[in-house]
Amino acid sequence: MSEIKKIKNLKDFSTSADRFEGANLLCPGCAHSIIVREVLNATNDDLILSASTGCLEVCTAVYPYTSWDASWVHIGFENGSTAVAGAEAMHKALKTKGRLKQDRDPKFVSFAGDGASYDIGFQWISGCFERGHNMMHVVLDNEVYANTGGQRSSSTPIGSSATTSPAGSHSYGEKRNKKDMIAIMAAHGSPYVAQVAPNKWKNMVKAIQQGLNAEGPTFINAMSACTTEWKFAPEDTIAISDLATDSHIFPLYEIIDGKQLNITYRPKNVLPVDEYLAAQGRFKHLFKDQYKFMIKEWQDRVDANWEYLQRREEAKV
Amino acid sequence: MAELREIISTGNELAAIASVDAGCRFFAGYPITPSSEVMHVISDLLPSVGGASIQMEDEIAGVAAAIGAGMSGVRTLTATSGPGISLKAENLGLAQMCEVPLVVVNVMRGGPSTGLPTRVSQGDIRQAKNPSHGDYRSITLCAGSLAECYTETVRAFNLADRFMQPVFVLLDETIGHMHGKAMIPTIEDVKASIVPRKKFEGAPEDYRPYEVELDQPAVLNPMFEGYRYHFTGLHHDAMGFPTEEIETCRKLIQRLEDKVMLHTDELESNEEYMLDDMTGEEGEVLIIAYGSVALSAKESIRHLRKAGIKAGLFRPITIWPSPEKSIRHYTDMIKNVLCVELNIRQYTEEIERVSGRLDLEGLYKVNGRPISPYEIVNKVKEVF
Repeated sequence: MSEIKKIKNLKDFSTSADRFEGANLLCPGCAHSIIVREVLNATNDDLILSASTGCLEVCTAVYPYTSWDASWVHIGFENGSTAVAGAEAMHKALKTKGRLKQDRDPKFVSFAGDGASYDIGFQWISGCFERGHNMMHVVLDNEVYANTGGQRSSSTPIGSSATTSPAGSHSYGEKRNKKDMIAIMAAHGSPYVAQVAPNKWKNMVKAIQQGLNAEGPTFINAMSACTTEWKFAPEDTIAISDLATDSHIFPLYEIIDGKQLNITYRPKNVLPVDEYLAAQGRFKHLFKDQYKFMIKEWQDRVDANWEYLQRREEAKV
Repeated sequence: MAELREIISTGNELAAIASVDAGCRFFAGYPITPSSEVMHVISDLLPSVGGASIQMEDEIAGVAAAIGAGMSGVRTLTATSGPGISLKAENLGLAQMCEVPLVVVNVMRGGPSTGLPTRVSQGDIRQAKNPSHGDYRSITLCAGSLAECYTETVRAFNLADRFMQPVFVLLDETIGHMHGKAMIPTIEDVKASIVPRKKFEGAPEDYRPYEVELDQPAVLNPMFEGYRYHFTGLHHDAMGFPTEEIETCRKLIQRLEDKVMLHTDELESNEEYMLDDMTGEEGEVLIIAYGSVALSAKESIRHLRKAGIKAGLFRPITIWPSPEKSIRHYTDMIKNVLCVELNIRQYTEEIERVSGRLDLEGLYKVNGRPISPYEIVNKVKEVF
């Protein structure tokens, strides 16, 4: 059992970062750094990290500087998870043969965006989970290819305007709904899969610690509100995240051993989806008469999904 | 002189516009710097002309979907950068083997691996020649101006349909992101220049797509018209069915070679800048460059000429197959040769092979920055 940091309040949290520095080139208001800091704070163990190509990698390791005080590898867009899996497999082999000089077991974590997880890295993550490496994959889910100019990904929600699914007089933007990665990863039989958001930081730290301590491949999907591509003011990152979790648009829940689903946050006052949509430029066009029907569809879909999650939780299967 | 129209645009945008003007109706790709703008623009243009643009889940899927559309008979584009070509390589080999026409725009950035995503390079010259394993001949065009981003893309579509294989259009980050005025042919002229792929007009039961003259490409009829298909990356016979029959295998691969190499006259395209007054006398300087580097080279030549040094530029536009006769002509005539590239000797080695000369001078840069005219001027003054 690894030693875990005890973080009681936000003040503790804000002063506890020692392995990921605030000095980086991420946009002001980017949620990536909050999430990464939470992951790195969730353990005192040694860390073997990878970052797939994306905003996080580009902005935190600009020669001659690095924000990381941990073993860190940047590899191809698609296979950050695989690099970590290779390191984990090698560590296991060396340990089995008694060749390791030290007794400490590191944690293996791969960070990737939604493009590198939902799209190009999908089969590689699936392979890691099927082989059962003792690692955690963290998705910094900003629902868009933010690093290359705001193209849609398969995490981009329906109705969102992106550079390759632009909204206009003939289109309301993205035509398909977000891929359900949580369900897919849970279907691999992973011991721990969770969806988290930085505004619920205690919930998030708990989920990450549970993931890190589980034996086997675990998956964290972290909402990372993107000030640049979602088009909101940089100071509103946490407010936007609150709107998402309090309207059930981004429900926080975990699935244990691929079966037991637990909802980990229930908003006291449930907000309508309008507030979340209206707060972001990427959904601005949905409020035009032509596309207003989409808002109703959004609400119905979000309600249906919440209903489904509750029933799954009750069913305990 | 044909009528031209004026457009203010970028190289990437012009490649996308040219594709649509040349009749391209399908695009599949994946975001990658510095070529993403090709996808942005074409995803905006294609729906209005009844085409389809799909953002795929990765680079491999991008080329695979484009090949599928190419097989079905439509003019097809994918765009990427060097790391994307690395991923697409297997499928580019399949397109060579199955003889599927396809245009691949590669906006070059620094490599290897992730390299320098936002900076210029010409590091994919060798890769463009042989992205995949096996014997085949790549056709690669390299745009050296904004206007050529348009005209060479149009030419690439015609060549893809003529030779029934993938055709590369190489831009580099400088040309791709350069913003300015370009004089390009009118849409009427472009449409008039379109040469559609050959079609078999007989009965479906007589259709034998790979039964062609030994120096000619396959004839693939559009799909959904009643003709039977069997595409395979295995060696195949006249019908497209897999075979290991000795003569059939030999003829197939020899034909892939000969359909290009016996018709290089249809492919060659060069620019000869200030070479017409060269006579081979002592002190003349031949600069060989392509792509955005040629812009610097031309500027340097103007400076050199002012300084009394008789210099000129030979710029291959069709990079592969290389313009052997023209290269030999100039390298035989002019003693002082300087090759300028944003890589280390990738094309110089081809010029050495063709010219048989090992005394070529070179100026190479691989730090992601363009080569300035003054660097070329200084190099010429230093080595000759």
